[in-house]
Amino acid sequence: MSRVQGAAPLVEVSGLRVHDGDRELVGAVDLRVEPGDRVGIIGESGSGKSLTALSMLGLLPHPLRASGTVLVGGTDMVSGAGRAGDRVRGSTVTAVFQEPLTSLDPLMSVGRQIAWPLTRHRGLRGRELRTAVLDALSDVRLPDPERVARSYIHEISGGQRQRVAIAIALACRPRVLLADEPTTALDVTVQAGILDLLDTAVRERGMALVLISHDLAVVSRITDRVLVMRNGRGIEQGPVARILTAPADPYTEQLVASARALEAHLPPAPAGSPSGEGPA
Amino acid sequence: MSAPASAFGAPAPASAPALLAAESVSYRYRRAGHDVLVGVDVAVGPGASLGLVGESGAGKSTLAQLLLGLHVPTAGRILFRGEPLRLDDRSARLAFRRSVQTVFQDPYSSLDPRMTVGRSIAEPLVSLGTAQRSAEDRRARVGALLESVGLPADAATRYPSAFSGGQRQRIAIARALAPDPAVLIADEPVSALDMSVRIQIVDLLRDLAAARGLSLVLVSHDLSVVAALCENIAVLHDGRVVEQGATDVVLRSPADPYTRRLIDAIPRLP
Repeated sequence: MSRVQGAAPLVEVSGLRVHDGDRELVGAVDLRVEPGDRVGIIGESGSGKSLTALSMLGLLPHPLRASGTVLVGGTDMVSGAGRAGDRVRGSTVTAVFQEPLTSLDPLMSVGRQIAWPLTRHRGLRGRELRTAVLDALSDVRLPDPERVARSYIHEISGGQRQRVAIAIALACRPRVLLADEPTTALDVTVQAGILDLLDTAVRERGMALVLISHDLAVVSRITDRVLVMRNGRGIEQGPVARILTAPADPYTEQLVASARALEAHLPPAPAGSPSGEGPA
Repeated sequence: MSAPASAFGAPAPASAPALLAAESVSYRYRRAGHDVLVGVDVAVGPGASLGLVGESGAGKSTLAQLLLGLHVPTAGRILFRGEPLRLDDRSARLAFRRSVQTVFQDPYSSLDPRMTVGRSIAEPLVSLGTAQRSAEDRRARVGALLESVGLPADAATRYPSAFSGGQRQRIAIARALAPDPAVLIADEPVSALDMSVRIQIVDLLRDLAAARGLSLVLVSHDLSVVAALCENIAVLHDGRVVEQGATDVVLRSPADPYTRRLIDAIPRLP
């Protein structure tokens, strides 16, 4: 596991296709993620961005089949969806999804849900495990970690649930975090906090981030590079600043124009607001 | 302790030419421990537009439902053309339903999948007793409505499954316009749509409201959508209107700290 540290990309997707029987849902997607990269995948509904994410996790739902190359930490996620895939998920790559209500277990306390991957991937037990659980909760800036650890998810707010999901995803110190629309179900003031959290968590740990979103403003806030997808295809890829100012593809241009047209109705962003910062 | 509306706030005294108004309205759901709306005053004049904004649980959808006459306020009252809303009288109720129509968030669930688009659009005409005499006239009316929302008249013969999300929302708007209402209440009408489609539906709503002199009440968590469509805005937080007034004034210089927080949190393109 540790020998693939060198120049090999953390994630290498090339010629990825996803089929549902004869129907091609994703065709020829290429994406490389190096350690520490912050990459956005932007697209509208049906663009294939979530299927691309699930392919990277080796978690495509049953009748769907992936082909092409998807290497995560050197492990082939297309063929190795079994035992090898299990080892990669949780230790090399972890994920946060849109709806924490469905990705978390309603019958298990928050503490036990965080303890599970810590035991499985890091072999922690007893007092050590307990400390790690509370650390994981305070890392995502949840107030009163002891109380949250004892809670069930119906007892905490939507924003807190998403923080718990992020705590679980970060608990095993993955090298890449995959976040699929992590703030889409949240209120805008809560969204701002979650984006800040993802931003600092990834930066402090030197992790790579793959952020999937339909929202250009969200993607541009915490990633440096974007892949634009449409109808299952990668349309173009490049630095956020270039995509926003000089899109090469007419579709990207239209996407940027729509976002700007709506934003134009708002007064200019107040100075010093977090959204005023460009990506570092 | 109802929060004072800002200096620009337009409270709704009976003398104002409001078409539809909530007056000191509170609402508590059955068996709920607290009021979801507390002493709310909002009003929309003829041909004017009002955006109701706030986050989940703020009470904005409940307020929209009260304005639609789907619930009765626990305290306070809803006024339509200056008269308290009467839902017990059948003819008054039908007249109100013809005058105040709605568009919902999700165009996938708001249209009956087993009805042709034409039947869906004609349905309010029939149920509200304004149906044209002949099937021929009715078909012409449906065709005209479809064209007014940018769809071909022959879309009437197809089923909702044949249309995209944006097209379905156009159909839902055509259906709302069928009884020729005076007020359109739209609850998150573009939230389920892709960004590029969103802007088209926003433009469509603006054009239709202007062309028909419609009053528009728009519920949205998205301030940019409200800014694009509404001259007035009411900001709800925990069931109270914390601030209301002209949209550009409120957004440029919010008086309430919550409004400021809401504005600051919007992610912007660099």
